[in-house]
Amino acid sequence: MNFASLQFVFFITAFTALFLALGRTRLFTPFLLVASYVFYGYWDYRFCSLLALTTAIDFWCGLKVADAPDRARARAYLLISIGSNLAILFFFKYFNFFIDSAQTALAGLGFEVGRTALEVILPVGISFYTFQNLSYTIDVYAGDLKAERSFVKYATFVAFFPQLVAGPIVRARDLLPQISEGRPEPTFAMQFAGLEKVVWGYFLKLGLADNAAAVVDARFAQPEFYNSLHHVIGLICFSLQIYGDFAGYSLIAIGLAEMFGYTLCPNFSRPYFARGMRDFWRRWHISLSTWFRDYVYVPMGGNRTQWLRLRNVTITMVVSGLWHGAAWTFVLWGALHAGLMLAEDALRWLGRRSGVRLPAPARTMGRLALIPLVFLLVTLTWLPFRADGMHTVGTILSIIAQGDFSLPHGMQQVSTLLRVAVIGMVVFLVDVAVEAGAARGWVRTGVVARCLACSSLIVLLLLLGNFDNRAFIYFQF
Amino acid sequence: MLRLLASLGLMAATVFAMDRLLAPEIGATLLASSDRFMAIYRPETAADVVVVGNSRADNHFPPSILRPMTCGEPLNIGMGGAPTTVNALLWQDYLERHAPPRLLIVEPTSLVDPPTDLADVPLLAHYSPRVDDFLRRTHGDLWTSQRLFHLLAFNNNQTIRMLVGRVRPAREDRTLDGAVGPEQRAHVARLPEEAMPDLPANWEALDTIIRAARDHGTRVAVVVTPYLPAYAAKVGNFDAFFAELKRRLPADVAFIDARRALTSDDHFADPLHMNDAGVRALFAALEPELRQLGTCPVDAIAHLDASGATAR
Repeated sequence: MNFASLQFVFFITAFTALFLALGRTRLFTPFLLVASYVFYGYWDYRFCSLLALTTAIDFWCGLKVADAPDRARARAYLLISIGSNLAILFFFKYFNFFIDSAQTALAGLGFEVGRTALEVILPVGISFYTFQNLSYTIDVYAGDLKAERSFVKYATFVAFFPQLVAGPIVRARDLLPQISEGRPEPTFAMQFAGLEKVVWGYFLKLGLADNAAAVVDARFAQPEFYNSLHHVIGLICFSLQIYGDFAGYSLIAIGLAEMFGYTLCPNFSRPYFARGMRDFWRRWHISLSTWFRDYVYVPMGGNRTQWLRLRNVTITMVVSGLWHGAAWTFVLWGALHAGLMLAEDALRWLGRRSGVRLPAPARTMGRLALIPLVFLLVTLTWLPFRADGMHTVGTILSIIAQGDFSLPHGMQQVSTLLRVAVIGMVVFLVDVAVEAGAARGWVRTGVVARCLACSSLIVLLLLLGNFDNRAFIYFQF
Repeated sequence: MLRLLASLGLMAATVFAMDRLLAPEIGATLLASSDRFMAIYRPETAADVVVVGNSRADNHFPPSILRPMTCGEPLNIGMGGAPTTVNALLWQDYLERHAPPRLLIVEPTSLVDPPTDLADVPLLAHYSPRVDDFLRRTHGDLWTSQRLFHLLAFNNNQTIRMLVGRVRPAREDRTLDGAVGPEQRAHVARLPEEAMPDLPANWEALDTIIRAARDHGTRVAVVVTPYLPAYAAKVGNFDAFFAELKRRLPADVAFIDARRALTSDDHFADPLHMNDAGVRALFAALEPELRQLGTCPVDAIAHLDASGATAR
């Protein structure tokens, strides 16, 4: 069920009523579980069985790991959990990709083999809940978390509907205790902050992302019809689209959870204000980047030596690319980010070696100049992320290289671009204010003024929002 | 939870109040704009020549060229992406509110656009009961939403163009720049063969347009403007479709078939639209016929001896 659909309005209304009615009963946690499965099953009821299967496997493995008489046996159960999760993920997400790639490689070597592909449906959100399950058993094995003894509570943690489909990837240590405590008693301040997050999330999605999508989709559908300037505009719009889309979804998820008294981890922290690639990854999809840091990068040795840093950053970023999608374009995206992070390392190293100390004003100017530079680099990396194949990447790069930056009059989509510009400016100003620390003062502002601010955003959405009911981008991952 | 619900109620009430206050103001502001669609609903409009169709009408019939050729004030209400059903609504709205023009030019390619497509017409529901009814019949959800929140009627690109036009008046001519490049040529070459669809609702709308014009004494000219030759070659029923169009037209409707009037790719901005150079080249070729249709005073005298046939 899409957050930006009429069905969701009916769902959340019914959910709220039952949440209040069943809050003090023993049916409360089962109700949360059933509601979450209804939410998820609305896409395709068959997805629920896979979700239930992985949940059952990891619940069982978690108990076995916790109760194992020795580390070897605990390790064996951990491997069962990891193996089964990765096998399921591999089958549903990567089977055709690897078969296709192998066949292409063999054909390149002169071995013609028949084309084989399975019609495998990609279950929505599989990458998210698989990682959530994995972190649970790994944490139990590492002794960072006690195994959950109640299947209903564990299943509710995995399926908790606000974050199930597209994150944030919540760790069991953060959410399971909240589920176990029964109906929460949130303060009004927490609930209202949640409501504000929901409004801002919808503003990002329907205002920024979906308007930008109209510009982006046209350019990627027929790249040949656009000149260099159009494609540069298109790439910038995609930067805005994916931020508005994913940060919007995350905020709606976090805000909804807060309205009902649950705290989820933050997922975005104004990533386009990053002053470097490391900084970018501290601000973008935080729950995924910290997951990869804790469960892939650090276990491989982290940055204990320069060689390890180089190897581990490359592996982590390429795997992160593959996590997003089964295509070489995502591998390229991950590799580009690895390259940029390592280049930043090299520049920092050279800076330290040179011993040059810039005066404070020059350092400040330099830090400010880094913001647009990092934005442009990240924007360039979004090209393979958005493209449907390497051919499209090549076509768009070749058009940009032609250097035709003329602005034709009668240019189509000018008015859509104006929408993006107006909404983008609102988002930019709000993000600047939050970046400057204005959020603390905002919390102390009266509720009526904050309601008026939210109403103004909704009115702006009525005038400039895009209501074409586009799915969230990260559903496909 | 009650305080939260009260906050939600306050937000909803504020949004509703702002909606009801702002919508009429925006409606009045737009009506006062110089926009060509608003001209349909402003009483002082007086056009001698009206152009209807989709983007090919919009981009291919610049008023600055039509004015001297037809010896009258033109109004181009071609709307990008609009099917003939929408063209008919706009034309009937115009006739209902103004003296009939001397000449109606129809660019008929909108016959192939899906008849329930709305293009930028939802905004006009604010001014036109006819458009409002069309919206109700074809897009009930959107119609209901616009009834609930009046501001939604102004949530379209047309509104933005009009508001921008109030700050910086738009160019009168809406011809396109640019030329078909090698990538576009390659793209067109890769296109599979396609066919122009037969859409009865659009044919009926074309009949309505012509009937309304004839009832009001307006002469009608159906002008098919050029396509990129490589694209035209990909349309399997390209000749049959326009032959059928010609067959359906009443005898007193002029039919100017200029589909193949231009053969150079340099005259096109994309496969469906001529660029500025293409439009000028086309009108240089069509001038004799258009001057006759425009019934300029001098031409009218000269026309006394000429035959009435204008079809190519």
